[in-house]
Amino acid sequence: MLTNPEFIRNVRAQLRPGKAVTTLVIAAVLEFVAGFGLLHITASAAGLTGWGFALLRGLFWIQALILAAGGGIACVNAIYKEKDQNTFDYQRVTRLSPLELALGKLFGAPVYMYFLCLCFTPLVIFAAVEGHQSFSFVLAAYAVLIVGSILVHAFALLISLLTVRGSHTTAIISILVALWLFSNVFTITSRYLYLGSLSPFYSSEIAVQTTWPSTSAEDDFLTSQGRRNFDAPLAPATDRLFGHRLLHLPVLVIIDALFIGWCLLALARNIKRDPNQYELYSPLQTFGLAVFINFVLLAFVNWHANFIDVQAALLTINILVLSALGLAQLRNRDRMRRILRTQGQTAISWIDLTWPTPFLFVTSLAACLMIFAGATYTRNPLAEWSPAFAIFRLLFVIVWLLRDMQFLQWMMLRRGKRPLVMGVLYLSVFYACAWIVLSSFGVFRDADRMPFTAFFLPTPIYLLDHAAWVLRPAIWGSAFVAQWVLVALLIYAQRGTILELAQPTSAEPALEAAS
Amino acid sequence: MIELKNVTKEYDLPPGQPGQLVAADRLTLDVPDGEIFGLVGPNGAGKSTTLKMICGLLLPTAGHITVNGVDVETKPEAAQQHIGYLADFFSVYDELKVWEYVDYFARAYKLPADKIPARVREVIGQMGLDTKYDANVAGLSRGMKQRLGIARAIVHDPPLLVLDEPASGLDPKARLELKDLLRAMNRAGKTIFITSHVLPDLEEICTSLAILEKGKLLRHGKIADVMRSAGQTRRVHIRLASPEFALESWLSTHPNVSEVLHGPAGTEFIFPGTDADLAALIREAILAGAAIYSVEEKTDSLEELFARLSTGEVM
Repeated sequence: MLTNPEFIRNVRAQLRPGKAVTTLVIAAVLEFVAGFGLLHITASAAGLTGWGFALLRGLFWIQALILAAGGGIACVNAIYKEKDQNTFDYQRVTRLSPLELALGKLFGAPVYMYFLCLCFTPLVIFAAVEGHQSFSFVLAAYAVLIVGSILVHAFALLISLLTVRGSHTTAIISILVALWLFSNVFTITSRYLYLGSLSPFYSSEIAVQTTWPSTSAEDDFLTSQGRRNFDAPLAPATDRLFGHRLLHLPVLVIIDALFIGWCLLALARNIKRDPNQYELYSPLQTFGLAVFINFVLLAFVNWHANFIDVQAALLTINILVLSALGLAQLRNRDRMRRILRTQGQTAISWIDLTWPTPFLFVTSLAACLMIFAGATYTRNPLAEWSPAFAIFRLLFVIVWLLRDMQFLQWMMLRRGKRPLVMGVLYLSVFYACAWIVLSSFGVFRDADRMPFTAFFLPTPIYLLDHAAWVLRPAIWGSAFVAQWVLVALLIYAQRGTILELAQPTSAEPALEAAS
Repeated sequence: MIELKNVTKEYDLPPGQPGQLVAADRLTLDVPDGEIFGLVGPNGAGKSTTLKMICGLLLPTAGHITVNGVDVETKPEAAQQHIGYLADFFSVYDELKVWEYVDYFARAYKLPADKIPARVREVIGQMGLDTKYDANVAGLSRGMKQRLGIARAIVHDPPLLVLDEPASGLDPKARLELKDLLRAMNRAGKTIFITSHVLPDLEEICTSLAILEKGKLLRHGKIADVMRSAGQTRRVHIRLASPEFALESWLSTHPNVSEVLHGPAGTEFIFPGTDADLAALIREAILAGAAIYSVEEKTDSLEELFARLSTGEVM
């Protein structure tokens, strides 16, 4: 990394001696004053209730804020600013490999934030010494802080790559919202997942831990009779991987590192590409990412609480994941034109005409089958569950996803300013209107009328159970078939747009050379 | 050095306008080694798009481009090693020093680490920026920034320079310096592919050119060939030492001569014959008693030729 030209450029630009010395002097003065003041207060520094631990927790929280949020904003600016200043093309024509360029930006763009965190280390050491905290926890906290922040930076860099002129502020707000969600989502998912926080803010928790939790060989997920103990509480700082208790720290580092790898893959694939031809992942890689995310979910899922809820939660997460991956697979007019001109007008394949339905069908089916397999083998045997209904719900989710993605693909191939944004806007308006109208008629409250919602909204994920099915099987079935009909209609409309795009643009041949 | 085969680039026209914009329409072009090749055309003709496709910055909708035998689409980094690129905008890293800026690109082009300091100093000297070696880029004048841009483009000693409007925004002195610099680099063996709005400048330095309009290649080849292919007529201007001889009347009777114009500065006419025919005509005039002081042949400038081609006067 120290020989990476992009990293060196960032260090030279951001850490000029004058700026670095000024920062160091200000930090030293502040830390000296803080340390001097704390040494002269009467309260105890040591122990869980001492100021040493409180300071340690606060310092790691601030460092996480600086490194993750500040570094994230620096990364959002990194590529966008280069594009805005017209310097990005010069980087793209160098011999730097895409990965070198991405890594140079990943560690170079937030280099000043790393430096700021470095300035805090004397105070961190002071707090740890005064609070009698073991340095192993301080080092562990730094590991969490750095790995978690790198993941935020990699994601921010990806956002920066995709940011178009005029949407810079939106990109910065998005990364801050994403960081906030990333830091808080594990509180919500703790009901379904035996997985602790993966956020850099978790460093402030681990910094004030006093003992490493026990990870005895005995599987506390199973009772002494060999039956699953679904009510066993999760010990602090531990996770359960397929029921086996693990320390959270290595799990966090490994999972964060794997997601960093996925972000880097997308960056390396696209950073030197023509922006009109961006494709975050190849179809195979997208499939791999969907399977990977579902593997992580299933590995840590907690099936015990309410089985239907768990399945709905997994499907909800999958809708978000598959929608994001589906969006990344949509083709713009430029890409479609290139496919058409390369293949020839008469040789357009059926996959290109129906894209992304075949790909999304296979990917979402794989994801749903993983959920089904997980449910079959690890569910609470006492919970009520029917395989036929599970499959029907999964298929409903798949077709609903296909319908929306096919609509967005059709929109994206039509002429217009920001067609994808318009498509997403139309869908949002449609859902808002459908929900308001259905609610005002009281459809959700009446079990007899509720199946009608399935024509418009993804309600089968949450509302389709055996009792609901028995009440109106024909309506549920019709809603399911209607989604497929809509997919077919959208494919037909898309075919028309593609054929229109395939028309030759010029009939006259170019003139021959003068010589 | 550069080979374009049926290269096409299509864009959407802005919303509200039907159809597509064809920035490059099946361009087929071969630029040999050692040329200074000019690409001329009005704004929106597709010049910058073509240059960007050559550099691998834009992918063509169809067609193939090779640079020094390397396919730009399949092996962009290998092709880019042969290219020094300068875009039509001034864009440098203002927060760096001059040597740091060139050093960054020397490293990015993967020059051997031990040779980088010497190469950076050499290139900065070549561009006449020695006195600014340790200065901040932000403080450079526009002309200096342009020279710094060229330093960046040649730091890895590429055999091909692709320059998009390099003279735009430069003052006359800086333009002269730029022309001298390009000639010197061409003499040093570099192939130069250049676009410019300033056609007289191109005419002066280019060995070959291509004329592009609405994505179509109207003409391309050696400058003389392009001029000849456009059906250029030979206009001859004769000045007499003494006005006694009625040259205008004498020429009007000559079968190969047309459009005779007489003025205080001399007599001008169109003569479509060969060089030998012209020599014979002059000899005849002298024998008839004309005291010829000077004979000058006037050709269309590139600007005039371009104007005729773009208005459809010549196809």
